[in-house]
Amino acid sequence: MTTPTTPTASAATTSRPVGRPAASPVAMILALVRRDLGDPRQFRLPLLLDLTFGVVNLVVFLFISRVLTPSSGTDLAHSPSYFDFVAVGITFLLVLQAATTQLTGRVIREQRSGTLELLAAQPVPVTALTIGTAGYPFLFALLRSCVYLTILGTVLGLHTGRADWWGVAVLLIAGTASVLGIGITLAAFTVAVGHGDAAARLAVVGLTFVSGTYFPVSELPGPLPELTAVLPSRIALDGLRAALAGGDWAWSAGALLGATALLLPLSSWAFAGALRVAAGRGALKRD
Amino acid sequence: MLTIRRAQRRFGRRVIFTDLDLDVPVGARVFLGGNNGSGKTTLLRCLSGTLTLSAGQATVGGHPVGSLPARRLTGVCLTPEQGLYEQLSARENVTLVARLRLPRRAVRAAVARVEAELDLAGYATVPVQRCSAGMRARVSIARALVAEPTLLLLDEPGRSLDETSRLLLWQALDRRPELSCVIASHLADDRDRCQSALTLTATR
Repeated sequence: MTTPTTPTASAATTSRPVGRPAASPVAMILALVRRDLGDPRQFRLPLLLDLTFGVVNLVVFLFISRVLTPSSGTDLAHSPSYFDFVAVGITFLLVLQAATTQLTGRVIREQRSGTLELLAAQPVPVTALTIGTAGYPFLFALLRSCVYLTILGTVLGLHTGRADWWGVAVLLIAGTASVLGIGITLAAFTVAVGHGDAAARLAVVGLTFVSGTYFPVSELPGPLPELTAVLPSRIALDGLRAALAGGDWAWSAGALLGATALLLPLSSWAFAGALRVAAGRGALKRD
Repeated sequence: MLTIRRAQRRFGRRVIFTDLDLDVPVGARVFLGGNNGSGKTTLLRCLSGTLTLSAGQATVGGHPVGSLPARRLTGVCLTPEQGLYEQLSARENVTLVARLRLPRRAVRAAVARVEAELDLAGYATVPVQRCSAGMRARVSIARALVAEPTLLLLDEPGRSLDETSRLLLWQALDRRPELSCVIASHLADDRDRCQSALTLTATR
């Protein structure tokens, strides 16, 4: 057992005022985002490789859609062809990946390097910490989706003649923000339990399967088509397809904003709980 | 400034320290000694709020450790050669913490001050991954000091520092007579510069 062996200085409780000037929560969030933008490892070669991966993925499905045709009567949710359908699915899938696996990957690196412990020792409210940490993946996901849509529209033949670009922009922003709530929850799981990378991959595959990424949700068995209607990923996909086809997207945008308003505080609360659990276990730094 | 009462930390059944009482007045420096594995770093982590006590309590300026007000008062330098953003420069690492703690208008001057104090200027723009252990330790110390905390927790700050750098560290601390410090170390010189000592004994 460890005990103190030398008495120390005498007691003197002094409380210096804590109200001295401090950084605002907005400044803290900006500082965390600038930290990521100042790290070139985050966005040069990896970004290029990532974009290449996405484009190759889209080209593969372009050829698949030329060979295979959906059976007649299949509801392609506003999309004029299977390629138009799946291209939107893949674009948003890559957004989903950025918002989940990239965020959990970031937290895993911070935990291993000891920088998460450093951040936990700073006077940063958890909400500012989570939004600041998620800020770069959010911007990255938006950038990715813009690049893919540009390539799809200009090179790969996506039908955009009736697209409502305001709707597309609103849905991309709201959709990305809502899935960030899922990403932050996975980051909380990573901090408290570990194995966040595997959990994030599982979440991406699961959401991809039930949200209508590769095939219409109407093909799902049993009550799944109705049950999955509340998933932000499905709402975002339905809305994006509608906006690209010139349909009504306002309901989807409203639902996504509502989901964001619910998920971000909840996931922030989960992240705060995860930090407390990790501090109890001594797991803020993992080797 | 720092008060610890009947503090205990254990991992499972292994008790690291128990029934620990300590008072650190404003401006006092406490040397934290003990063999490897005696719990010095564990105690500093508990005081920084990144590890919770299993029992007892600790306060900084009357605020429970780990609370936002306590974290605002506490500067932390744990494992000084680690916990840095490798791709960022020394200046960017220090600036990040300054931005998290200080109003925007105060950041640049605060960073410049600690850069000068710890002589970081020669490699301030070099990515930390290219810096030696001693350089990294100086960056970590600068980061802990940049927001002028009232309590400073240092975990073996001198183990990678040469004699000149250790002198810079002590000069920086001497310039802050109201700064309370808890310094874990194995160096006799560090012990001599502190007013009091607490020695932890390893569990067998």
